[in-house]
Amino acid sequence: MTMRNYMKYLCGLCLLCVLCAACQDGDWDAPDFADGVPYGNNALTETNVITIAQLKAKYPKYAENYTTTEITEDLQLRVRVTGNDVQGNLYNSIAVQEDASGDALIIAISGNDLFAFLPVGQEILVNLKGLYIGGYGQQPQLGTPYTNASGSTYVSRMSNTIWLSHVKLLGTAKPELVNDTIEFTSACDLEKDCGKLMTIKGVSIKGANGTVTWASKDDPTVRSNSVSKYFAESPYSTQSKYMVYTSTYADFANTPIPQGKMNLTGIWKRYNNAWELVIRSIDDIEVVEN
Amino acid sequence: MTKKLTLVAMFLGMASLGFAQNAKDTTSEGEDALKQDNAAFVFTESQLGEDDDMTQNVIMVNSNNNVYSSNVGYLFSPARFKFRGYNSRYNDIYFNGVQVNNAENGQFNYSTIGGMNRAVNNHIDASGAFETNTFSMANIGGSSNYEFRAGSYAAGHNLTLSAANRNYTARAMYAFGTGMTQKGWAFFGTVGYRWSNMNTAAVEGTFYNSLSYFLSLQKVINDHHSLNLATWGNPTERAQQGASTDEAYWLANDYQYNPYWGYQDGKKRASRVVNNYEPTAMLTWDYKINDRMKLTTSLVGKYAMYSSSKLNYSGTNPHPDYWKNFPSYNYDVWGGTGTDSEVAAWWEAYDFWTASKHNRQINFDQLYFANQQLNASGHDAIYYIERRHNDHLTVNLGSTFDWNVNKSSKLQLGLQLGSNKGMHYETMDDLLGAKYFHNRNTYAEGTYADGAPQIYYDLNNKDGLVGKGDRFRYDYNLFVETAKLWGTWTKDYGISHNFLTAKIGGTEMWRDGKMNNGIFANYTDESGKQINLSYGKSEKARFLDGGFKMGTNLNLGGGSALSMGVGYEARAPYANVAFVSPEMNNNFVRDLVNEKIFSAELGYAYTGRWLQMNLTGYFTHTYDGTEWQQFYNDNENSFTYNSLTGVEKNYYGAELGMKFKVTNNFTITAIGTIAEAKYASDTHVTYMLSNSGIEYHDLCFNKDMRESGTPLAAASLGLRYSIKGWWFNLNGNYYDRIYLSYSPNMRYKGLMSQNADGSYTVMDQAKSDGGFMLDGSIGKGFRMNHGRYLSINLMVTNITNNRKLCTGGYEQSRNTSYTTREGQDVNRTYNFQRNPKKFYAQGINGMLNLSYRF
Repeated sequence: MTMRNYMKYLCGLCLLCVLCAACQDGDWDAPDFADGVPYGNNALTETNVITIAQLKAKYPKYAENYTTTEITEDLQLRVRVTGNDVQGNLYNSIAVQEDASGDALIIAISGNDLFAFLPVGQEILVNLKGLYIGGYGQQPQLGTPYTNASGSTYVSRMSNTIWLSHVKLLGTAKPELVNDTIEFTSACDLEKDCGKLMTIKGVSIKGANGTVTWASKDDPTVRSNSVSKYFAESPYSTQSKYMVYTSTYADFANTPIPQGKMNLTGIWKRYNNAWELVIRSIDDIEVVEN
Repeated sequence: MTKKLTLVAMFLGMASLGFAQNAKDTTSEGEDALKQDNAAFVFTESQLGEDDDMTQNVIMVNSNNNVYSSNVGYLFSPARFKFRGYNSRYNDIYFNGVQVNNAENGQFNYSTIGGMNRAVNNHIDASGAFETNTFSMANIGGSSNYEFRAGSYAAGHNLTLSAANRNYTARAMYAFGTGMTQKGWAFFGTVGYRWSNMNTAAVEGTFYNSLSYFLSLQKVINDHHSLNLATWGNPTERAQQGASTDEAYWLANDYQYNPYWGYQDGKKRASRVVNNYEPTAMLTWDYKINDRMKLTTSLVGKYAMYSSSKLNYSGTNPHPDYWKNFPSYNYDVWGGTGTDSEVAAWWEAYDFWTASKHNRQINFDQLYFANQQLNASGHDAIYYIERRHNDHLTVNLGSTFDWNVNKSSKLQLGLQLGSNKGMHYETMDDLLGAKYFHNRNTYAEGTYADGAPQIYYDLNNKDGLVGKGDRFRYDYNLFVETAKLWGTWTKDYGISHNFLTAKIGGTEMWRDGKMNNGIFANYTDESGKQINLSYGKSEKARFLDGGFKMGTNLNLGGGSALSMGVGYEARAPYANVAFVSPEMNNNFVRDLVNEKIFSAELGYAYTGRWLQMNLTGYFTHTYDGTEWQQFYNDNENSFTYNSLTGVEKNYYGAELGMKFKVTNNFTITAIGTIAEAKYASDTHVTYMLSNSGIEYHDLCFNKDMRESGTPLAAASLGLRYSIKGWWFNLNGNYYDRIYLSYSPNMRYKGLMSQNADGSYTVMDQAKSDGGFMLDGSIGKGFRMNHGRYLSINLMVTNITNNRKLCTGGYEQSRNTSYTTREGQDVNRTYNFQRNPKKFYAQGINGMLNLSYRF
């Protein structure tokens, strides 16, 4: 055989190998979720659903600080997500509300992108057995106990593993079913209404000058990971009672606070005897008067 | 006819001149193949750095004059041994006399010549730091020249079939060479294929798919001229393994646990896949001027396409070994006083990890679901697979003039020119079920106002939608032009063989940005001058460098020889460390200067009838060095770009190699080293966060931090017995003082707490316990009629199945404490310092080779 032929065969062999060496990591088809979504515990069934009001009645220390009560009964809640960490302000928690009663609760979960699985409008079934209820700043919340450096124990965020075994998603998110028309007024009941999605109308923020931001990390006066801003208008200007809470990690933390009147929507949490508005995203800020 | 044969013989001799310098060891053909396989096993895969396309710690010193260095490369490769602790940029690689190290980082990617064993086996001429060669002034980690002329390969066919339980499961290689024909033509070609899939690879969740080819054609034109054209490449696709913590290995009950893969619709899917293809062509002209002078010139061109995919996210880390998923996130079993609920949470996580393999791998279904949910509500995807590209267009020219001045003197003069265009960009590989993704800097959201220009990666295509294959996040080119002149003068006086070698060179580099990054937006200054902060060309940095080495080898008689050498050089910084943040802007690192290297070596060698021995001591001091790294900084929720300047290091140690020839059939080889490779002083650091673009200056307490991922102490005792075509090898290797890669930002003065007396407590560098490994091989060669030869080899590594030998890893870059809402610093339950990410040696593994030459 001549050298030319040898080369021809070798080149042919190369070509054959190229054709045979098919790519192993090709395009992937999207998974089929017909048999259940890949989040939470799909084995949960509605066997003993109670209301938030019934839960509070069963566990009367639901709002006490530094008190943790384990829910030992086989109980469930059927609630809809009203607030999440979509822009990082509601940190490691979601706010849920009942469609019928409008009662609300905070569920503390150790996870950073809860909004991806628990969008606003998503209805969920929560298995309460094994979870704890108690107050953090007297805001009732579900979670697991945590003992801080000072030795105080309170209900805090549960591990994502625990959460996933206690939750089931019910259908797809229906944001249109979320009641976002409740107006916050000074008549709201701190004990009954805390945790609800509400809107305060026609207010402005003290010190807003077009450059002051919601919660800049560069602000030398900021010593922790959050900033409280106060309303300019009475009766909400009482600083010990009303505030807007913003995390320095929120996506809009460095966005200047509008100077004029605004309608502000968010989760109104309780922090002991004060109201704390947690804006979910920049879309919750509606400027009504410049 | 006679003239032609003479001519051919002459050129063959000329081409392989370098090999003559190092006497070939007397191992068999089959054993050579085994050595190469063992080395290739490590070189191609296990030593690849995290998120890097280079073999971090490969220096293939193979000087056969030295018992230690001729054995260390393959004997210690299972433990990822770095020669003297050097980074592989201190080892120069040449092909037919032209340097081919990556121009941007100085390293050579050995995997690009993987699978073409017949082309590279026994075709390497290696020289130590103070040995002379015919192609360069040797680097401190040695220099090697691969001989790729077709005429240097033996005529005939060779077929090799292999089975292994390593990175690949099966391998087939075929080679054919004509030898030099009477008409002055020679051809050599080889083609190979290596394969494993997700179910057969030794590390679950990885695969290997690699084709390789090598073609070389030589024509001897006349008495004076010969031309050779060679081309090769090996398109490779392979999945990567990730390091993890001891807790993960324990929970998975597997020291090869790999967090980089998962399940999608019940099928295994890798999250990190490397695609690499570097087609290369080289033209070599050999010009024999006269009997004493010759000129060798090679021009090599390469278009390298390297990319690696990575599962990225802007939400919770989806990797199963994310720290919040571990039981120890809930309760510290080593010293915690956990509440009942914390202990219960620990068990909950433990049960989850151990209940099913699905639970401890990536849940791709969940990522698809999240993205689909997000898109349905108008949000961008938060999970996606990105692909980082490091492509290169490289042209290098090397020319060497070789003059045998007289019987005792030689002179070599050489020129090396290089031009490199590095293309670095990121593309979208898979949106994981999503339809929307915008080219926004999610790290900067929160630092800047909503809608501010700073949150856009490219103001020229602001807020552009990113689809599959589209470029996003960063896109820039790096240009490096180099020129180097070198010369070596060797002279024999009496019992001494002396040399003086020197070089001088110039380097020019610049960046050309293709995205106008919002944090570093271009602008026009007061004088009307356009300032290219990120888009367009940067200023050019130029460096003049050079150095010298001199040494002598004294023949003391009676088989004894003493060698000594000393060298000093200044070396231009590489482009990969020259920019503060090449992904974001055009800024050069401040105080960017040449690295200086002082090196010295003293060696004693004895060659007797039954004993060959080498004892070497060395010392290398480097200063004014620059290092650069980037990593995700969990503390700051941002990428961090870190430049260490004024880096000062010491490398010193002793190496011993002894080979006892007990009988003609039985030899005992013992080698060992005790080395030190560490920072000599604390280092100035400049770091920049990708969420703000602000540069911070600080001092990094890294004095005494050791080079990582290599044993700094190692010893081996090997037995070799051969009889009637059989050979047996058994090697016991012990490795110790293996350090993990230290985390600089855990040692920044400004981020550390000061003790009451004003001092700082610097955490100890994480370290492996070291361990013992027993390797062996057995083979048999069959000589048949008509020169045909069949060999069967079985090589088994880690016979005692020591799976607890940690071979490397890295510290986690995160503080254990955090700040509460009330401004208090509180320690987390999870201790990052106690949980470095590690790699462990593979348990018992082997390779069976069947090779047939015909």
